[in-house]
Amino acid sequence: MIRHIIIWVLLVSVSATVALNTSWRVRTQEQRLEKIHNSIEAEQDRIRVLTAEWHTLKSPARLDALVARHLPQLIRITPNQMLAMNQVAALPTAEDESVIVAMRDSVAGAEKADKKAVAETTVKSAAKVAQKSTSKPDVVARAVAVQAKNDQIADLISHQKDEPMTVASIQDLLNQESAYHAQAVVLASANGGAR
Amino acid sequence: MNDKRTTDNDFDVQLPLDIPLSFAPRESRHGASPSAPHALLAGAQSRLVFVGVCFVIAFAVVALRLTDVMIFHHLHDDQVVENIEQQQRFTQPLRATLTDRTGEVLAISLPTKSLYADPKNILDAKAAARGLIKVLPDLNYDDVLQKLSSERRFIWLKRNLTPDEIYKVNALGQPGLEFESENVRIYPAGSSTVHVVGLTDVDGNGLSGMERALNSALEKNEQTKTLSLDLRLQHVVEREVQDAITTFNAIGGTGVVLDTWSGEVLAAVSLPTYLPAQVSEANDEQRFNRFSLGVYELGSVMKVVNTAAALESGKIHLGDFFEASQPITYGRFRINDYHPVHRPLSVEEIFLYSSNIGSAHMAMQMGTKYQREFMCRVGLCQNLETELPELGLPQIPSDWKDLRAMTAAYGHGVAFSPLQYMRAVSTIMNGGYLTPITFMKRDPVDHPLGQQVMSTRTSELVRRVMRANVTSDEGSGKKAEVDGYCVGGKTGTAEKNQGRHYEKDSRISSFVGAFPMTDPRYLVFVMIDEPKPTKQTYGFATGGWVAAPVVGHIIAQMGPLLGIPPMDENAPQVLAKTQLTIRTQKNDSDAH
Repeated sequence: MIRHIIIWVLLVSVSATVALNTSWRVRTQEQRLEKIHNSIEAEQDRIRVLTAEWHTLKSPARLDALVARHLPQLIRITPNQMLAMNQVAALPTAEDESVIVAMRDSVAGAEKADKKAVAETTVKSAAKVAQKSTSKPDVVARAVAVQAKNDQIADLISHQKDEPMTVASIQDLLNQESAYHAQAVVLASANGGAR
Repeated sequence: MNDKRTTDNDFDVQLPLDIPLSFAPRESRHGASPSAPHALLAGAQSRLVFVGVCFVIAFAVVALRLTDVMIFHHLHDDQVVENIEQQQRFTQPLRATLTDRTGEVLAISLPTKSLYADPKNILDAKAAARGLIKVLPDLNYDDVLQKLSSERRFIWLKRNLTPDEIYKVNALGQPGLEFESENVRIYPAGSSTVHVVGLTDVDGNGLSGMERALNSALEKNEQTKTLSLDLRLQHVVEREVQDAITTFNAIGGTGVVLDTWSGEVLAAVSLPTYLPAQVSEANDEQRFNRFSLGVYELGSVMKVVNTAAALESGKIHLGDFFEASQPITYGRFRINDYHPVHRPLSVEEIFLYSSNIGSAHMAMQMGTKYQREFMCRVGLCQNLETELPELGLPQIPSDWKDLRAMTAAYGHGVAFSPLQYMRAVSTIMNGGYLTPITFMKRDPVDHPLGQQVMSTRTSELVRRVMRANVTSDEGSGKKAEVDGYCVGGKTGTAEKNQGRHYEKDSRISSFVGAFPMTDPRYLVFVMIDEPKPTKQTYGFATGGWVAAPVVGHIIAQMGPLLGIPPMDENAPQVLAKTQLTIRTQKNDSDAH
């Protein structure tokens, strides 16, 4: 009888201990959760503050004033600098690529032969070399145009890198401000190159 | 258990009532009757078991109750606690954010803290004040010292500190300086959008603009609300209108850009304006919303509506001539032309020369009743319905007498808000659809919204006339032309009605332009209030000199900004939709 009682008492106390322990664990987890909630909230508040700051910093009125002060050489984009996608020559085809490779090879060859020749080796003279390798003049013309365009874009990009840091960073800001601006600049220069 | 005597003794000791018996076993150990102690022992054992069971039950009840409280009830209680936490967390939900159509934030609520002092807990008021003015330089030392030395238990020192300032104040380590959580509404676009976005009061209730229109939705903080405005375009319009106001020393102006298909307002500027944070210092002129609340006699820009009405009536066609050589005299009134031509003019010439006389004749010929009915059809009679609470009511008299009809033909005697006027012109431009105006972003549309209230044919004809007004030598809107965007438009110069008479030198110069005229998608309206003539404009301050260039500048920047592909105006397929042969009396007689 007593044994039974002892066993029961033991069982009850063990289960009570387990329950108590579980309860404690739950409580600590909850405290952790609460802390995480709080930190999420604090983080969200921070994000809100930063969002407000960022949008104040990049408000068009402020950027306009900054550009007027630091980039007086920038001019506004005019409608005739815009091109529709179908007005831009298509991306180079496999055939174009082979002609371009031939052109590059000829330039590289000339470079090896004589350094002075490099200056004289223009896209045109390369085209002449390329013309020999293919019988289709329209393919060559297209390839030359595509290559010239690529060079122009590369020039533009390298030129931008040469600019002082402040200019480049503001340019970056401007680019983010309007993807159209960047697109129009690139398209316009590409257009100029094609002409 | 092996020593029963001990047990018995112990047992007996524990039962003080049985004390006399406790000696019995000792005496009986050597020969007393065995039955009596045995019975005694059995009784003691059963009592022991009874008490033991009672204890076990009691402990079991306690254990069960503990289990119940800790495991089952615990969950329940936790839910309650969590609910209370949630309530505390969201008792002051932050107001929802407002953005423009590209996602630029126009209004956002920030949690801030405000600094107050409990002067009782301040140890050294002077040291505290010195520290405070060091980290918050905009505070005044004497002022702070006086506050910190006061007898009160609560006194505000500064509202809405920045996180950086909070950090610095905390770093002072002064007891008695406390923070109270608050929130503040920030408008990153500042003065540019204040008339559309509006303001809230200190408690976060919308007072004006979209803040008021969307108040209940914003308070619930369900999601970010996206307005139809394009902040970049808004800035362009603001800059250009402001330039014109400065150049012509005007008292104010407004500029609105409307999408004629979706009815979305892409930009709406009213100048002069003010910074939302400095609303208490703004004067009435700055607070006044000129594009939707202001109601103006718009003048000749109303000829767009009159011409559309005339052509839609079927009684008047392009090429019909009207006598414009003599002023019209009606009672004591006289209708005159600003640039008299002294010969009969065709309908398109009346538009190009902006002839008041010709327009009045057109109104009479189409029938004054029809004219008013048409104005109602394009939404000029009913109150404009849109989200913005600040809306000026249209002033269009119900007693539509002949004189009223004749003056209304050139935009006098009737007054509308620029926004309501723009909806009428938008209807005429988009093929005849009365599109509902909205300041909220809509899903992209591929067709004008709303009910068709006039024929597409009339719409096409008016487009041609408006295009001719920009391209032809006689046109008054030449300065609005932008290469590649095929602009059409109409100028307006109205003398302001000062009490009972019209003031010759205080005018409203305006221009309404639409593009591309092949199928106008965008409508731009600019109005400059009381421009003064300048040397550069040869002493003119008319719509063609003041407002038309502004519209041109806006369109030239707007096209690349929105990625609108330019077109070749002289391409045959463009000319087929925009060209107009202007008939004059001279070449008409040549033909005969």
